Amino acid sequence: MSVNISLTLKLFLCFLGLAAFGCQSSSSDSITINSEEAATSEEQKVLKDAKIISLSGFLSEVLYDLGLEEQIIARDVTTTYPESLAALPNLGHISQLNSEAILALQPDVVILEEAQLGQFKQYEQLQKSNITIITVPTTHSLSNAINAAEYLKQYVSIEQQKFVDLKKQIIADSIELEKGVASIEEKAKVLFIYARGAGRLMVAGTNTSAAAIIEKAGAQNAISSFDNFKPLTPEALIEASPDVILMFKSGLAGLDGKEGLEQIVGIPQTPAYQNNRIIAMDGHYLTAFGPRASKAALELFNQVYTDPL
Amino acid sequence: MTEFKTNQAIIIPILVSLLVLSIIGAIFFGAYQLSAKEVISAVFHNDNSANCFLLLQIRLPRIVLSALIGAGLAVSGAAIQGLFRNPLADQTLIGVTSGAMLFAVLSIVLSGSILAQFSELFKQSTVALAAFIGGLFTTYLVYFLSSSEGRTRVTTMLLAGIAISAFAAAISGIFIYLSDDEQLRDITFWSLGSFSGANWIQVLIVGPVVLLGTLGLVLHSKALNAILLGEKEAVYLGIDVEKVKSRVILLTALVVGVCIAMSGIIGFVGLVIPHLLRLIFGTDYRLLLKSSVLLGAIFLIVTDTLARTIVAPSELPIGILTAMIGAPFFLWLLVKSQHQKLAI
Repeated sequence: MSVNISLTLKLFLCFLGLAAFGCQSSSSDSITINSEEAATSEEQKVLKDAKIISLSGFLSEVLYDLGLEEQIIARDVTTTYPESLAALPNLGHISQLNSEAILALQPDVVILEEAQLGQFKQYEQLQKSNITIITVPTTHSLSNAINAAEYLKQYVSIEQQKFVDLKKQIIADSIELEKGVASIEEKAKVLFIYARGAGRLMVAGTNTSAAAIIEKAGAQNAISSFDNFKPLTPEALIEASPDVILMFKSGLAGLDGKEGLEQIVGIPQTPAYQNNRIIAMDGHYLTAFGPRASKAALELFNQVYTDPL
Repeated sequence: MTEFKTNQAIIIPILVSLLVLSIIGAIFFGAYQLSAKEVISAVFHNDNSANCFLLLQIRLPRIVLSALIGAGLAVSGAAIQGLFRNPLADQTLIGVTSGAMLFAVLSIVLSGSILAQFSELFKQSTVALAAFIGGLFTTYLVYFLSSSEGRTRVTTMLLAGIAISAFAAAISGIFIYLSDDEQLRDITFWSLGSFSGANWIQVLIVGPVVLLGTLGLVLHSKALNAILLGEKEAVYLGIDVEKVKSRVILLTALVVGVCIAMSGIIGFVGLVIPHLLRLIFGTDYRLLLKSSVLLGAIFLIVTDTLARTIVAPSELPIGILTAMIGAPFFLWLLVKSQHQKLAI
């Protein structure tokens, strides 16, 4: 018996150690990390008619709007809009790329978002083979697409007119949105629910693209107490008491629509459900912060602030 | 004795020639089409052409890496089976896999918050390092818990390994639950294994560890044969059983740790390759360990060649293929040997 107790004790202590060690090591492993970031070179030659591989759905859409559709030779799995791009060879997810296949396509340029660098294992290999790799910084702002276009302009030749058109379109949408938002007296509380398959519902906290677009649309993210996505709990739902529930179309469809939503404990008690204020929008359109971000925000604004009855 | 020699004289040359064949085959196949002539000219005239770059900087390191990792996983699986005197054992039993998984998950999920200030480019090496440390740490934990008064009880070790693996999996579960979409994807892919980012630096890291570790394990073949008779009997035969245990576990943890760190989790190799060989010529660790090295390397070279070609321009995670090819083949062998026994 005493052996058992001491073994249990040992186990327990070790588990504590394990947990503590886990946190510590993963933070200290990477302390030496920063130095290499400064290595981004300042090459400024603008490539004409470059063959482009896009590894981001957002950037594919920007490239398309800039009139570079013909130059895109392959895409990643997140590139789904516009539909003509979906017909391009699909390289899969950025963390699972096939280096050989990329080389076989003989691209001049590979484009990805800065935030994706951590998953892009082929970076050094491709750089060595004289492919220009462009890592575009992104933000959750309505000018994200313009900034990206401006960044791309340094490397890839872009027709000035296309660039101006894109900018004009985005600004026009933004102005309309701003006008609307300025007229709002009381901000509606919008809760974004992300349905990641059966029984796996998450709600968006602060610092998420969903919260960002909600705020751009002149509403207020119903949750301000935590970061990122957290699993949905009935209590959190009732505490948040959202005026509107926002979901991806695919997510709502996955729950069998509004009837399915009713089955989730806590949902029927929300003002949003009781007033039938459930909005579903396309995921990429709503949260990619691409060229249509201000349009999406405007659409969301209109849906939130128009009386459904 | 004579049986061992004849077996060895047949099996080792066959496996060596298969290994050479699989390497040659793997050099010629890929998403990037190269004719035999182009391959040969790229190998012999080391110019700076695209073909040469592809072959020497992308395809070759990948083949070498998959061979090393296949060898490492198979031989350590065989050694652990010997140590536990159980053909159903593999590396996961000593906690190395679940520990590596836990630490990798931690580093993937925490990289979103705590590590956010660090460069994205370093996340990969952070995950690898974390996985390696995690693998070693949990193995040490399992070993430490099952040792007292200078003795390591294998049964305790088995149970401690299961308990710690379960606990580590639970903590991984918490973090998987909290992970966002992108992280979840990273974790899933990581746990399916991949050689997608293989390069010479990885080969340089894995190579020495796997080669020395494999050599170390192979040197223990006789001791493992003795342990097969029972630990007491092994002691009577003059084997320092405790020393063998600690060495085999340390070597396994190092080898498997470094393999998992580089490629993620590749299941099935450590269990099935030694098993398969056992079905063919029985359990003699002098032959089993050596042949596991060779067959493990062959198996991963072949499956990885498939992984990078069959769904080009994308690729399949290697862990899916190892199980998809290995499992049916293994079952077939199992059923066949069962029938033969019944017939006798």
